[in-house]
Amino acid sequence: MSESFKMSRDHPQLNEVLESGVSVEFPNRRCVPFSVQNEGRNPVVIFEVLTPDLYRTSSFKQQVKIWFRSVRAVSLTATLSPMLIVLLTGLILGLSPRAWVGGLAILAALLLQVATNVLNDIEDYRRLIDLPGGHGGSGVLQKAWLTVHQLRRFAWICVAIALLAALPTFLLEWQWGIAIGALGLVGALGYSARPLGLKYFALGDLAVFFLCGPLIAFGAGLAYFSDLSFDFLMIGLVFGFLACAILHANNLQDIDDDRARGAITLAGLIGFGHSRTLLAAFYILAWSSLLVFIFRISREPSLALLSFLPLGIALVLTFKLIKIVYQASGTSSPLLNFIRIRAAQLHLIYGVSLALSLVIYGGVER
Amino acid sequence: MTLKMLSLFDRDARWSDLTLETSGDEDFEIRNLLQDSILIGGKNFRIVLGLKMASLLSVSHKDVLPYLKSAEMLHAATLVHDDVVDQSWQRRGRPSLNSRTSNRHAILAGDYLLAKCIRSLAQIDQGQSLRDMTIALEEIVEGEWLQLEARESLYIDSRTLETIAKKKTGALFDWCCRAPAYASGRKDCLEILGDFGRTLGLCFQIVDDLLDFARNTGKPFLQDLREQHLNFVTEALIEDFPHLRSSWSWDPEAPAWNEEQIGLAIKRVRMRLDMNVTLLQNRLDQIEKLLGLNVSSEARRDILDLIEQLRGRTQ
Repeated sequence: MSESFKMSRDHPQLNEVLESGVSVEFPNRRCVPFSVQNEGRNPVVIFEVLTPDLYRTSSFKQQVKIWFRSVRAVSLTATLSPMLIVLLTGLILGLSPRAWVGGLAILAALLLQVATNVLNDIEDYRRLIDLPGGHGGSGVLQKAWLTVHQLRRFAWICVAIALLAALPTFLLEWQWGIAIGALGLVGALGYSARPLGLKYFALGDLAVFFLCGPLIAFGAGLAYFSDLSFDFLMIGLVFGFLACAILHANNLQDIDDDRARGAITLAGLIGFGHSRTLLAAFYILAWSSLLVFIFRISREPSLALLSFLPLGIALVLTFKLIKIVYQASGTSSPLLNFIRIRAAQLHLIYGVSLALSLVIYGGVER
Repeated sequence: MTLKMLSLFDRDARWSDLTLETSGDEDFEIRNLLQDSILIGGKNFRIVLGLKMASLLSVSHKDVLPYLKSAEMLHAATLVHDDVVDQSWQRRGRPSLNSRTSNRHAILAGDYLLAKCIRSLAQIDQGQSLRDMTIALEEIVEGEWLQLEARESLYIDSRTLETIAKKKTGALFDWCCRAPAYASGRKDCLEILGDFGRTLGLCFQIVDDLLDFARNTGKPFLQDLREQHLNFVTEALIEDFPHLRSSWSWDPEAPAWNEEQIGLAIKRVRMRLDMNVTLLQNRLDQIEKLLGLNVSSEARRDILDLIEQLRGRTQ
């Protein structure tokens, strides 16, 4: 029989046990919360005590895999794609890039997103929103492969390196650079971490839209070209809506769980039916913004439309994703499983095919 | 056979078969067909569970039995429909109703059983138990629907499997555990009894999934794989080794995993079962607290025995 113990939800040691993964009763083994039970007015957390073979890693390769999993690499496309597209657009518009400043800015943005992802997983775990077997997070905490302490240290190291990497942009573009950097930092850290915790007050979609949309596009434009063009804003809108769709797809599936655990999300507020309409609207808005962008940068719209044919794959995937969401019978539908991964893949393919289209367009136009 | 002697998982031990009551001169073919197929040979687990809970609540078996028979009838009706959905040709080692007649006949027979179930319950109680029974039925159908949606998918997580199990199996267990409270009017413990039943339903499903990986248990080896369903074990396997998705095979003769990988997954699922058993014991403590001095410790032991028997099947 597996070992377990329970702690009251308001027990003074609860946080410490969650953070360290170790309890006084079982000092040599890791424990993870298994379930939160209502016992009258006093909810208790049931902890599972794991045997070491379930969480100890035997090889360096395995450890690397676990750390890689913890950063949720597939989601990094939300940062990388708009930065890449801004660079290509600037080149097409004839702007001269600052390679090393821009390169460091990409690194800074990626590290900041890694920190955001990790801090988000920590906070969901500490708030007992993501329990074992759930849809959210990387799962490394729930499996006790890593502890909150380890992940938090890692997140802060990422933030520190990100700030260092963004330093050249701050120095060269001190007014706008610092403003965008500060907004990015506050938004990224405040997304889930206390005291802001924007995502727990139905502001997650808005925060993600700005962070992974206009803010990152303007930041990239500033770092590469010292330019805040309207075209960069359009790119920001495209990717802002796409990133928002990833989050919303995720929240769509978590509506019941989030409600049960007291997390307020936009999807939870408007319900399943309206949420899937909103998800479709995000994609329509992303595609509409892209059309405006294409017509703005092209001198020959018909030529541009031909060059942007590779985006057809992304269009097909968009229809497919929306179709799946509309086929799902409800929030518990297995069809929605990994829908956020599908949305992230769509974001990646969208970014890659848009980059390819821009390269073709740039070549043809020249 | 007395309740105490009944070992639920002994293949030969079961509650007596259900009998459909007639009203007037009714001797319709459906009735005979049902009486000769789905209504015989089952363990009537829901009846036994409900009676054990009745002992715990000191409610007379005579009072609660009519409720539980309705639940068992509902269960039988869902099995008839299940066999149509899954295109199963066997049930309890005998030809299923759809194979003996046709899918069309089987659907009608299932509907008939549902009507019988509602009618028999309405004869004893038209209040909360009837309302809750319809909710349980809704949930069972939702669970089946979700399972159908999950078919062939390698992107299922354990939360989804848990939802399916709690709806498909747990909803009726929930109702059966509440049955003594309906019969005795103890509305204060309805919620906690239901919660106990639902968790037991989940444990039941986890055990079933673990048995899928054991030979000589009466259940065909790797049946879920053959039917292209991920279960708790294969989900845990994919969760730990996501790369297996790319080489996945639904052929039980050529599975994608190796012994070490499946061993780890089985261990994880066993731990999950243990944790749910812990939750059950916790719930039982609460029920005891809620019932105060009325609790019969013998009845409590009896229920713990049942849980232990369930858990023990996977050893």
